[in-house]
Amino acid sequence: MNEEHNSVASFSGEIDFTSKQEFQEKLKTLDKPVTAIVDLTNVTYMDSTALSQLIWLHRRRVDAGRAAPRIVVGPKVARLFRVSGLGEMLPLFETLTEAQMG
Amino acid sequence: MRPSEVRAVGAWQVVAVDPHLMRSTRAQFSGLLRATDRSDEEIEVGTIILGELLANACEHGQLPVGVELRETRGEFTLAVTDNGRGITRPVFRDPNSLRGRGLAIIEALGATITFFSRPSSRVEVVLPFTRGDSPAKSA
Repeated sequence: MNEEHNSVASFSGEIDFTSKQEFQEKLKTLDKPVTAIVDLTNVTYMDSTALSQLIWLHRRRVDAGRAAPRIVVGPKVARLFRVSGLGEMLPLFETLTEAQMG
Repeated sequence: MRPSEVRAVGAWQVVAVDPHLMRSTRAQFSGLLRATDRSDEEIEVGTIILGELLANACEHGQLPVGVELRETRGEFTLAVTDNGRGITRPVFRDPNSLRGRGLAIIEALGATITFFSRPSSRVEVVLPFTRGDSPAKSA
């Protein structure tokens, strides 16, 4: 079966530990595409549980020899990414267009 | 310290792990901070801290979880209590680890964390701003 070339998973609203399962399931759709983008532009709040799920996605892809997922960080969650140091591990982008261009 | 120097700003009890309840608690907390003339930046920092404490208490402690915000001489302290065993000392893990990131984030935001394990599990965080600060001194 051919692998999908690009895939974007977009989220909105608040993502916290109570929505972990739903977030995780949607991120799993990004395991196999050649390019995977997580669009958090419209996310207004997220906690470290969600960050952990992004790390899991990164590990699954890198362990399978795929490129790291690209993360579009919306203005409302930019601080969380900054203080968590996750930008050192994951490629972060300000807009979806930038992420799609790589 | 005179008792009159400590002012209860707000208190909540979380009785179920429910998305709407979590959102509502965070929204009420933000509203209270706003009522004390905190900036948008400070409210965002405070809400991130509350969210991490709630997640820790609900995932690793036992319901109900009590949340209390108090002000002491312009300093804001957020206390989260649950019925779990608690921890006697904090363990901050590798920032790239999948667990323990929440407490590391709270510290990175400039807050001070104190842990209590008796009579119940309680975490107190002095928020990284005081009345009169603007904008937040945090990251």
